[in-house]
Amino acid sequence: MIDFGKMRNVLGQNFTFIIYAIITTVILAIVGTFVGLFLGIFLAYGKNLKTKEMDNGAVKTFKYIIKGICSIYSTVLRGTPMMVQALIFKFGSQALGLNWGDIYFQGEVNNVFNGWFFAGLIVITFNTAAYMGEIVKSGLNGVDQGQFEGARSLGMSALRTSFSIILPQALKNSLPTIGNELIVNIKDSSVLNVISVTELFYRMDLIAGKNFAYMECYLIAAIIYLLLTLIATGVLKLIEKKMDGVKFSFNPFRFRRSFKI
Amino acid sequence: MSELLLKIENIAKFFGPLKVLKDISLDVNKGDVIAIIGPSGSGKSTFLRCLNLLETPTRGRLEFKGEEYFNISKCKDDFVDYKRYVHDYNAYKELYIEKEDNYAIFQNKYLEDKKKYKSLKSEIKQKKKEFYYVKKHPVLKEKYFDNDAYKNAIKENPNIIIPSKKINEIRSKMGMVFQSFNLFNNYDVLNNCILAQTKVLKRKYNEAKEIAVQYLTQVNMQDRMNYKIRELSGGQKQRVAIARSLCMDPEIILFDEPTSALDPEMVGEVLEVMKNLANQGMTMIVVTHEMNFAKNVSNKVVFMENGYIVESGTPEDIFNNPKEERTKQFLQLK
Ligand SMILES: Nc1ncnc2c1ncn2[C@@H]1O[C@H](COP(=O)(O)OP(=O)(O)OP(=O)(O)O)[C@@H](O)[C@H]1O
Ligand SMILES: [Mg+2]
Repeated sequence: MIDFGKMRNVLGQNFTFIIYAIITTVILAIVGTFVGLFLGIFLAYGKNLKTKEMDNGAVKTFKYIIKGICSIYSTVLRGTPMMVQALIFKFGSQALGLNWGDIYFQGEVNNVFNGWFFAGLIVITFNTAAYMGEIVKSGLNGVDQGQFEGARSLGMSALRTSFSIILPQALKNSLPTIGNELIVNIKDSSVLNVISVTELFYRMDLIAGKNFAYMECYLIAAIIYLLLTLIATGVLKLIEKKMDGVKFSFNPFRFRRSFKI
Repeated sequence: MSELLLKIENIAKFFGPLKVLKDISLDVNKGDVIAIIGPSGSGKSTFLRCLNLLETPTRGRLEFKGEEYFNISKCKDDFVDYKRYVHDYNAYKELYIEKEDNYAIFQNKYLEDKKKYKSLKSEIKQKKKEFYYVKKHPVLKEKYFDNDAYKNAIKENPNIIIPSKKINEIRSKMGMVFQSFNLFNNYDVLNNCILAQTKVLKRKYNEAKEIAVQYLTQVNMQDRMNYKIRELSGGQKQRVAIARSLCMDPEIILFDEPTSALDPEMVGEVLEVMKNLANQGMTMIVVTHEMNFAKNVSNKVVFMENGYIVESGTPEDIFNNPKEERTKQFLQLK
């Protein structure tokens, strides 16, 4: 059933393309996760905004609007499949006169960095941000309020307290979930094939069609994905050892998002 | 002779319908050690938290070294038209007739509902005291709460809204030690004492470190300076918390039951530190259940209950011949 000779041939002939595809997938996952985390922090603060009795009308309205926008953003992006978001982003851009396919570079770099790649990066980043917003928010709310008051009683401002004391602890406590998000992104970046991002799955799909080697190619893809997630898990375990007090309980073998095929 | 440090005038604090503090006034002189005692739930913690505005008082005036930092002379409660509210039975009648559209029927119903009416009336009387009810009620709110008058009062009295910079300045001079320590878990002992110095007082790190070491030595924690917070015992945590507030060179420290979360064998070490502070002339307000501490260390004891100061005086007066019946009862229970 599986022709190992064919598998070796396919691997050998397309080696550089597969390496580019792996690089694409890894960049999508890592950049998507970390920029998503960065945006998620803002989202979490937006969703956590509370009006005070002291606030005047304009401030109150402003807070409600920001909070509303953040809530709608995270509900919509978590409530729809990333694949659909990608397609809407692609055709939405086209309607506005921006065709991501028109962007390309001369030479080798174009194998990784091209218009579709950037489109995919934007989609995965903004999608991850929605999830990160939730993760950071529950992390923030999980840090006991006493420390906030302790800092305030010393004269530290609310913002300073939040950034020096509450946020670091929130991020540390939610590190396991953030790590999970990275692993999910390694796998879920594959849905970006719908907008022609040549990440690992799409590249193997193309090779499979060209060589009539479906089983072989998908098997290779599966093995590489598994290796990537295992490496990521290993790295996160290392971080766990470095940062004492954090308990990691990874479940890398779980798909969170809806998936093509 | 003694300099007035903190002036507390007519402080009130309501949480919705719950009136925790009703009217509290107290003068704190430099060097005073004031012990606040009272039953659980009498609002002692709330009172302390009002002083450094961790809790915004509903009404009252606060002054630190002659400088006013909080002043609300009228609270929302003062703008409810209670007289109209109490006579709301008329409104009830109007509503009834409108619904039945027949005065005779109403008369019959009125006799039937006489008991109901009575209970309604007493209910209204009871609710007279609950501003919260009026504020939340969709109809009554419009009818009885004079929102414009309140807004005008705010406009006329600019002190009502305090700039946060000024609050932070006051807070840095007014240390606070909590029952639950509230140390920063993401820093070690030394940096817990350094952080606020560098961020608030803008001291250089090395200078702040010297000061931190000095005060950690004073509370006898010099050999645990690089420990993480979770590696400390309760008593040690509380001593670090005291050192942390001392590092800000406060003029007064508020203690909220500093020993009540501690195992009995650790209470002594913390009380010892506080006693030394008192002897050095630090001004302190201490909410405590440790009657011996109140008796021996403080120079003024305040007994609080139901949002009022029931009695205050020297420890000798309060403990040996209390004037109020309630104070006697409370001290006997102890
Ligand atoms: N943020 C809040 N919202 C609503 N009610 C509150 C709030 N904080 C305190 N209370 C209420 O105020 C009352 C007084 O609380 P407080 O903590 O000041 O009492 P206490 O005298 O310090 O009691 P204890 O000796 O047990 O510490 C309690 O009934 C409490 O439920
Ligand atoms: Mg208390």
